[in-house]
Amino acid sequence: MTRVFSTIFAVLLFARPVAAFDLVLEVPTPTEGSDVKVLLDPADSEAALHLAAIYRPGSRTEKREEIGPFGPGGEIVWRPSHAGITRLLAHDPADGGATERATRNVAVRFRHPPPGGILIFLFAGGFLFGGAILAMRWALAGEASAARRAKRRGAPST
Amino acid sequence: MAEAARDQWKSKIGFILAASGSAIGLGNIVFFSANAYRFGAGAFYIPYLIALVLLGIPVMMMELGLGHRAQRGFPEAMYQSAGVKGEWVGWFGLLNASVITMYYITILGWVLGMLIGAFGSLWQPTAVSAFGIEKGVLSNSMAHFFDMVSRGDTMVYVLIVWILNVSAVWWGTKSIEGLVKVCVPLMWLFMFILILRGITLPNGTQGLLLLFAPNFEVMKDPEVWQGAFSQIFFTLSLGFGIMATYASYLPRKSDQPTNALTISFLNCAFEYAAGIAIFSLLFCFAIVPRASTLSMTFFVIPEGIGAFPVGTALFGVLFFTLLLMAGITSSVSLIEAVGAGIIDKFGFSRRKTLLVVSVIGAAGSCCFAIPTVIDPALRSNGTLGLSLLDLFDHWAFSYGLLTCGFLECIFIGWVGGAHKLRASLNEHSRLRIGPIWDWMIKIVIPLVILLVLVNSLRQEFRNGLYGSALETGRLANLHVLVLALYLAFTIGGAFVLTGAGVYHRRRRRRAAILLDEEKR
Repeated sequence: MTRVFSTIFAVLLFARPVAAFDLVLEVPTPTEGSDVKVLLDPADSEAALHLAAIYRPGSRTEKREEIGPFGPGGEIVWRPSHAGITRLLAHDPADGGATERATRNVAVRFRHPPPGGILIFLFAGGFLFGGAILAMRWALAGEASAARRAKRRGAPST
Repeated sequence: MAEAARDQWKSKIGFILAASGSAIGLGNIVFFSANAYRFGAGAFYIPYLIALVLLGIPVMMMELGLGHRAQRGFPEAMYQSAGVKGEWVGWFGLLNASVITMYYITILGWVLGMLIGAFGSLWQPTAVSAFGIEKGVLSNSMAHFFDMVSRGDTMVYVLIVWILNVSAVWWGTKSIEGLVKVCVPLMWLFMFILILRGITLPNGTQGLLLLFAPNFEVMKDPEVWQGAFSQIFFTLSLGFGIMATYASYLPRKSDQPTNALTISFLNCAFEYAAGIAIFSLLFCFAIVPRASTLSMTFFVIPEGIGAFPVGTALFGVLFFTLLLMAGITSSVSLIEAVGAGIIDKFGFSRRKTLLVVSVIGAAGSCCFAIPTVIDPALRSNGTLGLSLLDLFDHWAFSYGLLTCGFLECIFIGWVGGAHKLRASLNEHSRLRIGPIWDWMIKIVIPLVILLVLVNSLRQEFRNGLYGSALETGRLANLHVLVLALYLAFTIGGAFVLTGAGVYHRRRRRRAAILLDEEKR
């Protein structure tokens, strides 16, 4: 059931973690389907960390993709397979990926505007705003005609 | 006893602005975006629009028609339609709305606190001394919020919001109309400015693609449909008795189906616009939204605004002013619905009723603002007030509203007769409502609501009573106590008020008989 004013804040998730590593992208806002270099800072080959991407985290369409291990210089090439908000995380496969050593939220740009998206944008906008304008016109036209009728009768309108 | 002339809206536009202002609240601005993100973005619009047509508009017509036909507040309108049992549903709905009003106004008090903070301190690192949290550990907005709710002066903000609300309803429709004629157009203007700012940020237009790009896989997921139907029910302020009350102030010859369409479309169009503003912000700053109005309002969006290259304070003030206006136009309607229900039933004077309602309501709101820290590690909600709010909200919003909507449809559809209400709706309507509407009210909508309720209860049984996992310190059974209080207040209170209503009617009848005999 959808909660409207759910207040379980899970504050600890918001707290800024004191991470030993950081993830740095060559291009801060990469594009879907294009390669981008991800650097582990500081580069640490001892840690043998792997990179994973979680597309649209926290949604019903969340998808996790294992990208692979960081190279000796602490870098890896990632080709985002989906656009949208993505969570990149460096983890240690030795503990089953349970410990996140570094995370970063990244906005992945759309390569092309999705036709389905444009259709929904236009349809929903047209339906809602069109419906609102039409219904308001009807509602206020009723009032205007009532006012005209009242004027003819010489009575005040409500 | 001669009845005083009933208050009426001065103009149709006044009514439309008041009703749409009531429907447009905090949930429209932030919660829709969180839901849309969670349920597959663009594809979510399909179940959402279907829910609007199948559930939202028909129930809106029913509530407006009910109040307009009776020209009375919700409980009396339900009594006239479905007898004493209907009246009980009316009181249950209003008492449930009272609980929501109390904590809603507390939230607005916090919005006021954040608005004041938006002029400066909100954007600076803050230490949260009550929790022993140092500067920089939490995000600026989160630290500011927890620092604020753990201090007693929040109660002052809550009382200020109560005073604003009572002033707005004091003179009835006249003062409500005055408020909405300023606030609702300003809300649209502020939203337009936020959209402009959002889409002109670097990659802002990509946020639009994020909002509308569909992933049709989610259409197979029943939870997405459930989310859409719940969203529509909540966003249109159904099940509160507000629409019935507002429509009861309309002249006899007014067109309710057209009004229902206007209010529903305006509300959802605002939600659509808010989605654009919020998603451009989310994409631009790569923020993951959370399915909670409070988290979105107080942490996520301020975090995005705090990252603006210029105009942080200006847009922060704009955002919280927008929220405050949207919240007040909604809370005013809640107070009016509760007050009108009592006045119409018992014939008390408006000002005395409002004073009593506001004193009790303000006391309740202050309980939700209690700053006592019961969860020092901030694993759950931190303070006692926030924990109470969380627990009461769960029962009042997730169950109370839907239960009221379900019972309303059953009693109006089967006891009062949906066809009779339809005939009354068609009397002055430009659009002719067909018999299919009767079946929607009698079967389809109650069935949908029942499915949502049963699914929620199933989850409740599976996961344990809501709140049992909350960190509440020494108040280990707080969740049980809250449930008991909620049930006593809403269900028990509805029995008491219905009984008082029956007694009041008998006394009036007896007085009328005595008067008749005296005349003879």
